[in-house]
Amino acid sequence: MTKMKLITITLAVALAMPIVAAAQTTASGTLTVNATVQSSISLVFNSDAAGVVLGGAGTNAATMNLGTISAYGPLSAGVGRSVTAGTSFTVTSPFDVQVDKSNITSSNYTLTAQLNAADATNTWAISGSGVTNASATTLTATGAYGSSTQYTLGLTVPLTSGAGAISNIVNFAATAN
Amino acid sequence: MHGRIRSWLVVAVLAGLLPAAAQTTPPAGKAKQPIRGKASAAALWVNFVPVPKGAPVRSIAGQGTLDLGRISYTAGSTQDGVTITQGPRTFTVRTRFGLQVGSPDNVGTAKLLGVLNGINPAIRVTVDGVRLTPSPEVIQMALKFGAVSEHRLEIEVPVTMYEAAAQVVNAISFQVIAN
Repeated sequence: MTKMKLITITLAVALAMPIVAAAQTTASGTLTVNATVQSSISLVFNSDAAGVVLGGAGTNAATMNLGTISAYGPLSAGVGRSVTAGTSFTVTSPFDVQVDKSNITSSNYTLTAQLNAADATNTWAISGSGVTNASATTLTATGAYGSSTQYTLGLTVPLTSGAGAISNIVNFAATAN
Repeated sequence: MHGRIRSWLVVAVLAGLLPAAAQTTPPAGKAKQPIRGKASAAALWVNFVPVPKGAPVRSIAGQGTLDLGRISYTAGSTQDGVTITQGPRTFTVRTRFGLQVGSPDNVGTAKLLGVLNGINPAIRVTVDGVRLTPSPEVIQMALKFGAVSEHRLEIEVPVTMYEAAAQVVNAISFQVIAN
């Protein structure tokens, strides 16, 4: 009688096992993700508290509107002026440049500036360094990442030049060292 | 008496084998299912498929490859269907992919789990908002058999991680369990 019970239990277990296995039906798949991370640096212009409010501040394509400038007349807020008697006047306005890095071992950067188009009449400068379209001018060779650095745009206009609009583009380039 | 016991055992063994045989035999009149993924009872399969606005996906037999191309903090991605979002200390790569779970009769649902295999722990990988780890994590509770479900993949890369260390060549293993 005991043996018969054992056989019955064995049979019950044998019948139940496939049901348990079927309830746990599984499948698997593997998705391989391929991506190549490239190092990069970014440059943005920010308005300086003492300067003209930039258009497109926080981007790498900003505009600085100095308004109406003259040797002796009123100037817009954020615009400074010095006059060299009998020769020229220079207007200035500070702005900030911030360079950030990503996925790179570089410890600092070199920043250069270059005029987009030649200006035979006026003289352009960034923080005292002359800027032309002939070649790039190095503003710093040890720029620090992650912080705003103040630069000042200077535009010198001869007193002998006629009235009219002045416009140009200054191209900045940051290169990781 | 020994003869009777042997007879019962034969019956028991046959009773155990029959349901298993029924599971592995395709239904009469139906084409045999292609082998796509590793299925424990040869009943379910997993396939990866591309979706609109998603990165290119190649898939053979449950082994898929998702190509995100070249990615960078400033330049974004070179691959269609991949977007980059810049954060203060990280950038996040986003894309979508499709997953199809099938069964012989395509009736019912399955639970979806994901596991991350061999990745720098500083890189966060989420699928449908669920952060993946080396342990299985439940991503979806009920995927309909036969239907293509669309999923969001997000990979967050720290900007402080150097180029070589930040390479993302990882495998995400998905497991589906019939509900």
